Amino acid sequence: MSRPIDPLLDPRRNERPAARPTVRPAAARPSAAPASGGNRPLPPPLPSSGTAPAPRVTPRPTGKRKGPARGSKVASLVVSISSTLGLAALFSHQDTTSAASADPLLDNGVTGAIDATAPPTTPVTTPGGATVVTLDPASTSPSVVATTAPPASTGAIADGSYLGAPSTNRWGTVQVQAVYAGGSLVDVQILSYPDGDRKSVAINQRSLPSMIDDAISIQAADVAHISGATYTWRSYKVSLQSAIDSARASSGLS
Amino acid sequence: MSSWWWYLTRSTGIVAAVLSVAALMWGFYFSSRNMGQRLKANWWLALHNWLGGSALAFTAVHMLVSFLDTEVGLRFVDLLWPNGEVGWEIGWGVIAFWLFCIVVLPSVARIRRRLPRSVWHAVHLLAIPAVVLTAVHSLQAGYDADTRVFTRIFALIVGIGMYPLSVRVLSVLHARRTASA
Repeated sequence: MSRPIDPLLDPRRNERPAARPTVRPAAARPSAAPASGGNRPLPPPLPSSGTAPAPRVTPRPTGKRKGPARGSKVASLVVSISSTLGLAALFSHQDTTSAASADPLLDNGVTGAIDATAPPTTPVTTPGGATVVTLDPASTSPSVVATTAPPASTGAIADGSYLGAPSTNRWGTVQVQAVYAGGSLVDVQILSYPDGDRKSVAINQRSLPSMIDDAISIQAADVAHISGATYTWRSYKVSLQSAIDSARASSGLS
Repeated sequence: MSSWWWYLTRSTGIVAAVLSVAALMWGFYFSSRNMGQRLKANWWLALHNWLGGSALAFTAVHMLVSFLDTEVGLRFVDLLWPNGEVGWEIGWGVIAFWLFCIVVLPSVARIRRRLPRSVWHAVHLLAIPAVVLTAVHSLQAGYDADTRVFTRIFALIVGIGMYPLSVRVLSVLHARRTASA
């Protein structure tokens, strides 16, 4: 009789297998076992002194047990490390590419809300015409030329524009100019800010006007931090503080 | 080399964030018993633990590299204590790091055995706000946060993460309904 291919069609599949012998060898049966044990599994014989053979003991592996998901762990570690290095290489490549293809229009065309109209090499005349500030591009120190004598012991800062020291961070240089009128800070002009890439321009166009308003309102350089513009914020504070110090020094204030 | 510290700061941060999300997703799958038939429960648990530990390790490397990058200007205290001086976009990341420490370290077997299960579970749930703060940190402080690639990957991860989160929430609701019935 040929056997069908599909096991479900096999007529013998519902047949019960032949009964297994229930009688164990006499040597393996313990003497205290009941005779009517049937096919119930019997416990292994206890070791006894004398004639019984010693039980075989399987030696346990002494090496480190292979943990679960070992391959997946190694794979995730490899992927993580390679992703880290690959992303770092990608960022490096992007920086190299963007530096090589910097858009020259950005430097001249994008000023937005930032008051960066004062060319560094042109003397700046204040609204009151009292102070002329000049910036030598080759020099990094601020220069202030006062055309009027500072008021003596009035306690007010003389009207004029005062140049702050340039402060350089990772993305570029921030340099500001503080404009005083009536003894108070009335404007902060941005002479330079990081604009080497579109992101920097966007960040600074968003953050610098707030910093200018903040400085004017508190009459100090300790402006509130702007989230996402930490570098510009730090450099702005340094440069503006330098300008304020310069203004105070020029006005005879300590 | 200075620029490479900066590149590594960004890349380790991204990888650490992805690993933390992956660990959370694995945890959701494991705790909801939605693991399928092919892989055993201990596989899911082992990989969940591994991903959590890896996320913490990469976060530590991210912090170390950002500290070594002198141009970033972060002090050691800025990396360990959230403060507004350097901006809260950094502070959210610091808080997330400590939350991850609180989540991962009690899961070490020796410590976990001594904790009541309810306490350990409550502590373990801090992984969810930790991942949320990681996302906030990456969106606010991430230099690449407004690039198109980052936005798409972020949306993809959020979308993928919604499924295990939904599975876990449904399993909790089902268990409560069964218990009340």
